[in-house]
Amino acid sequence: MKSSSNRSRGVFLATVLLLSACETEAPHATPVGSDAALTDNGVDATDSAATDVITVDAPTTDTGVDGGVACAPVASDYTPRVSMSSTDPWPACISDPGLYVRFDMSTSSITRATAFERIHIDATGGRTTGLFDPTRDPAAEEFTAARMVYLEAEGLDSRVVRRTDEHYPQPTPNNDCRVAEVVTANPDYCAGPARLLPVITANFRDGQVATLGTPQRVRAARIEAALLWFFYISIYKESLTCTTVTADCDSSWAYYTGGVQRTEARYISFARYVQSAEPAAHDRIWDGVLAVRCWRDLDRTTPATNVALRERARDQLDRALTRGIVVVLQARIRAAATAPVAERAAHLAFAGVIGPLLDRAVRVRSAADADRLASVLVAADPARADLDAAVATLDRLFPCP
Amino acid sequence: MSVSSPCDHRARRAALAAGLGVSLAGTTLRAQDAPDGEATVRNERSSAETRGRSAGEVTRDDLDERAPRSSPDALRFVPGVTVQQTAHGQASPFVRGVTGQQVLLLFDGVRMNTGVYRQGPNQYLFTVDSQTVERMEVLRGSASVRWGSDAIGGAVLVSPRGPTLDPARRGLTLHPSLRGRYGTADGELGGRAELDAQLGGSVAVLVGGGYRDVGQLESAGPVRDLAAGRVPPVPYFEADGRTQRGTGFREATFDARAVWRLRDDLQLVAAVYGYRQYDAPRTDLCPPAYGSDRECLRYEEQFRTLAYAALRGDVGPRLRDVDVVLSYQRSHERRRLDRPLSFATNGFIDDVDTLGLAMRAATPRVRLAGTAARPLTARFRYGSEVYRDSVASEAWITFTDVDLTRRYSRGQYADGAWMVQGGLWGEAEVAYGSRVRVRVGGRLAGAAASAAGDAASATQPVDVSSLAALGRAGVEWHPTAGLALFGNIDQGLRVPNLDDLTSRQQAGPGFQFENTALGAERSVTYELGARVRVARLELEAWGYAMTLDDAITRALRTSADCPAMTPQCAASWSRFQLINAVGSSVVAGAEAAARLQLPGSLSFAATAAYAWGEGPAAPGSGASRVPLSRVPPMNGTLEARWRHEPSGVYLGAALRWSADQTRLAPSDLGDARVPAGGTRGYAVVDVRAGWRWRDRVRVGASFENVLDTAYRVHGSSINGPARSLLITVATRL
Repeated sequence: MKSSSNRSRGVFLATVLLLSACETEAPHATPVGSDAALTDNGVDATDSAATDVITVDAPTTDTGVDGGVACAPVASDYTPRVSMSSTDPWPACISDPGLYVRFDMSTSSITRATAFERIHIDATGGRTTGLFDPTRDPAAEEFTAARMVYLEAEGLDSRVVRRTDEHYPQPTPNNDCRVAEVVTANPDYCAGPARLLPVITANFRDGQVATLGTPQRVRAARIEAALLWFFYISIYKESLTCTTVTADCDSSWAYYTGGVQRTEARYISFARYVQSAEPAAHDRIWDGVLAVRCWRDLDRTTPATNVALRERARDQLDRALTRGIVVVLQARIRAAATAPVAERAAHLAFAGVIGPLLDRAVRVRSAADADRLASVLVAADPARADLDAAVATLDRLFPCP
Repeated sequence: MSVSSPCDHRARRAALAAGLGVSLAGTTLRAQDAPDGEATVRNERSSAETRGRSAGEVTRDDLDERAPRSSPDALRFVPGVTVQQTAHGQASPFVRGVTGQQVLLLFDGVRMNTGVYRQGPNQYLFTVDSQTVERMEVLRGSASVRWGSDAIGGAVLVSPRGPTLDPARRGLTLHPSLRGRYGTADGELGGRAELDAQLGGSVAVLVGGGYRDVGQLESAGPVRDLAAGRVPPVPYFEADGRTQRGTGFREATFDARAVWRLRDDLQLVAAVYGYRQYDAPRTDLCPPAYGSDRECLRYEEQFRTLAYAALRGDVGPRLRDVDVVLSYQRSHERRRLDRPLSFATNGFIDDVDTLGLAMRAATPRVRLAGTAARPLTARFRYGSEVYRDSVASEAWITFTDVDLTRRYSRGQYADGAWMVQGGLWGEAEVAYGSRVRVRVGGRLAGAAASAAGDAASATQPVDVSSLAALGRAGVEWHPTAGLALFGNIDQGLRVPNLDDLTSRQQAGPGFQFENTALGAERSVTYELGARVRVARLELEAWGYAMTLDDAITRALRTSADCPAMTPQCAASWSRFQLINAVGSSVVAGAEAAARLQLPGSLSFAATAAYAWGEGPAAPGSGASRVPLSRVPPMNGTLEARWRHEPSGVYLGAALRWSADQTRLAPSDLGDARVPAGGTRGYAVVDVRAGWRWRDRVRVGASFENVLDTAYRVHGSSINGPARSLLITVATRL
């Protein structure tokens, strides 16, 4: 009887196994460390990271400027930090106290700004050394862990793949950068998928396998630069689409600040870089963010109708943002001028990504300067004098607004 | 839907089957109750389950004639049922305005609902091969006393086809058959081969297998939104503006059903049904509404295997309608999210193994009092069942450019979670003559669930159990020979399952995360119905109101409410958590059906249904009551059929229509499947024709959507097929 029962059970189990045999199992996770290859100088990247840890919260550079830089707002600018906007031509609005008032209590962009920080350092994930630290070469596994953060559902990648740069005219009749053909035909407008994504994915890929030829820190610096540019164009883009979706004003604010008020002085992502490089520029970006919110407070219909006021606010924001990305770039150029060789490569790699992206803004002001800057910023080993000249040119073209 | 009584249907079919049986030297034994309620031999489940209730039915003849694309699709002519499709290879029936976990699916009496059925529409009825179905019945309204948890809005009872078993025959009898289908709207090409074999006088087996390859579905174009006439982001159209990306799939099925006739009134059934679906994209995420057009979530494998053994029939004079079923069901789901621009794919596997034991029986009808002309009789049905689900769930990411895979700490569900549910029930039917029947019943239901916590994903452990009692009462009154009136009060129950308690997922309206403190939701359906049969006309109408207390519903959450270590929650545009709503939700509506049989085998049938749902608003939303999610708009059908019995030719035409749906729940507003402002109404015309020679050859053609109307069922990701032809051919030796 018992044997019969066992036999029946055996037949049943065999049947079950047979019926489920066609299922495809999950792939085996690649063992951690199997991809920890060598850096270009032949040192195991993991070992290198373990023995040469220097954690940075912001670019460890001598910016050469301080918070005392004088900015020059134009007369039509919104200036909430000056007597709560009472001296500018803007009507009273919700932003006058200097605080950003959200439309929606949930702003998903905050998570993406935070993800940038987690790509750099993810303490809860056990990664305490900074991916973007230019003084060290991250291990291959650090790139893998960082890329997992980058690829989180609804995370940074989900927006990079469709991000538009509204500094360029919208293509017609189709401006949908989700569509491959549109991206191919309009690489400047579809900057996310056409300009940034290739940089990000290629450098994550190379970092994960630690291929020889390029230092790991150079790859990290390129990713860092591309993501900062993503924030730069996202802030501007969201200020435009706030015309029809008010929560996009929140996103504009969140992409810059990471979801905090100016007075909280907790700086993450793009704001961290700008504040570190030039506090005055940081303040002016805040003014621009609040100008956009002020416009939307004064123009509450959906879609918004006061296009003139919107463009006034967005112009102010754009001038400040551009100054912001410029001072971040300047900081890296200055650092490149004085850093040790290995670190210098990382700073130049950063500049090599930002430089071409900034070319449009430079060329609008001076084609000759644009050509000179381009030659310096993409050079393999630019001279100290050329770097100093590039910093000066950028200051001249993009003074603190 | 047919408005005649199930009993009459069965009698007609039994007569037809008998006739066919003589000609084919084989008799299919069918479920049937004699007019006095006494059960006779059966090899299918009794459909006495729906007697006295609001119900609709789809027969094998209906299926052959209408040639539905799937089992859920077969229900589109049943009033009160709307078939929503999130993908071409998925479909979910809404019954009286609810779906998913709130509609119980049963295959031959075995629960299909597992512990991971989702809140939203789910695809699992699609895993029933319509070629294996003999009959589908939809019991509308709460039905948990008889069927247990999940029967809130109703139950779908699927009865499979059985082998031919002629007790008078000896030796080996074989009936091979072949069926084929071809459709132009999606290039569907498929077929099925089966063998109907009888071995001796007591054993018969039906073995079959099928395959179909379904391509991208062509629609009649975009269905513009009601808000501003814009083209919604879902579905995504190819360059021709008609072909829908994110559609198509491949499907293989196999089944075997053996019947061993122990006695004239008792049989043993052993059966296995397998469904294998491959590469079925989820249309609203292939591509996603706001992502790259190269991104795609597809169900690489959607498998379901059901095996069971059952003892059915009358065991003794006092033990009638016995049905003891021991079942094993395995659901396997493997999904892949391709992100080619980023050189990454996300993978997911969710498996559920379910063991079940269900028992039911009935007493004979006994005379309590009264006269021979008007006896007072009673019959008692009773049963119990227990099902145990165990879940395996995992998720990973593969970087395709470096061929590197990393596993996440948890999948969509808590890996290793289990759930047990079951109950004891009894139902008495007291009849006074042939005019009045009163039914009362009750159930004691229990459930328990357990899942381990996971620190890496801040997943809370689950260890819950519950007991609940519920009841039902109904009365059926036949004041005249042609008129029947019905009144029912039925309680429904849904205990939170492992999806409610442990899942984290990107659902249609946003990111949904778990709530380990959920309690059961309970419903009460109040319904009144009337049925009139006058000569060639049959009319049936039902009105109902269903209250839903402690409804398990999605509540909007802020980023701050998201579980720790789950950045994708806060990163989503919308976040939801399942909660027990404070206050009652209500679904009210009506269904009507009419059938007119004219001389010359010409018949007309019409159906109409309306549902209205409202529930409490989330605190702080500024409203007190809001519409319930995805409740279908008013809809109906009109169908004309003509059969020329001598030649076997049949013709048919059908109109399917729906009104606009503008009553949207807060969660609908962020759901890409629901166009801005709501879903536009439609009217679609189909024409059918065919020829049948006895049971040997059947050729059918369905000319679908002849006016090439762009239409979409409310809540669906796909638009309905364009003007197209669906051809079916079947032969049996």
